Amino acid sequence: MNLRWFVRKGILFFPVSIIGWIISIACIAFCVYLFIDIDSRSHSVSDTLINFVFMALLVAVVYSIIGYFTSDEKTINK
Amino acid sequence: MDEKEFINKMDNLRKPGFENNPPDNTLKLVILNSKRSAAIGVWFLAVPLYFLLMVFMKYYFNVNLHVIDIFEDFISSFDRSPATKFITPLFFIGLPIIGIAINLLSIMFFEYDKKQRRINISIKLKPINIILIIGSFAIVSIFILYLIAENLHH
Repeated sequence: MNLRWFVRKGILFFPVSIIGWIISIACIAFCVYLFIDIDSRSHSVSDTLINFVFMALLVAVVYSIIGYFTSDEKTINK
Repeated sequence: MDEKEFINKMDNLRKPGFENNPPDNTLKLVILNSKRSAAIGVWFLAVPLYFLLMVFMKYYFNVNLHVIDIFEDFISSFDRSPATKFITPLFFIGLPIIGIAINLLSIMFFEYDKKQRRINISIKLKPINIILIIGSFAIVSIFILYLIAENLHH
């Protein structure tokens, strides 16, 4: 099955189909929820940011794995 | 051997040609795309690297501002439950190992020579992929050494 939901530019995967956009928006919405949740429990701005970055990285890893398997690229290395 | 005979012998010498060494024009198909593998490798390396950086900042500089408490609670919450115990090693050892495998497969070419019964392995020198492999290997080594040292201590 040849899925083409994302296109890779550098280390980022950008959505090119409706499903890709849905996944991207869901990830952004989840990150916003995480930020609000972490901010409500944190003691300072740096506390919020340090914890949020780690959670955002985990979301980015999952997003990149989806992007990796659903981006259409040839396997011939130039 | 006189001079004439020597010149004749030199004239009849076979000139070396290229017929035995054809140019390497075979299309080498890799298992994975190198640029895409490098992209995912960066993300796989980012998680354990960030964790190491935060822990290093806390314990090396000895500044305890409760900044990474939620972060540490989150990590240790996985260890408390047997169902989610595998997640922490997956993040810090599993992801870099997958990164190493993906990047290695993207720069290595395998070719089976039937006549001579051997496998030719060639590695394409792609700096980004090689840096990611070395970085991932270093991260895995640090965590494994930590685990060994921790278990020996107890």
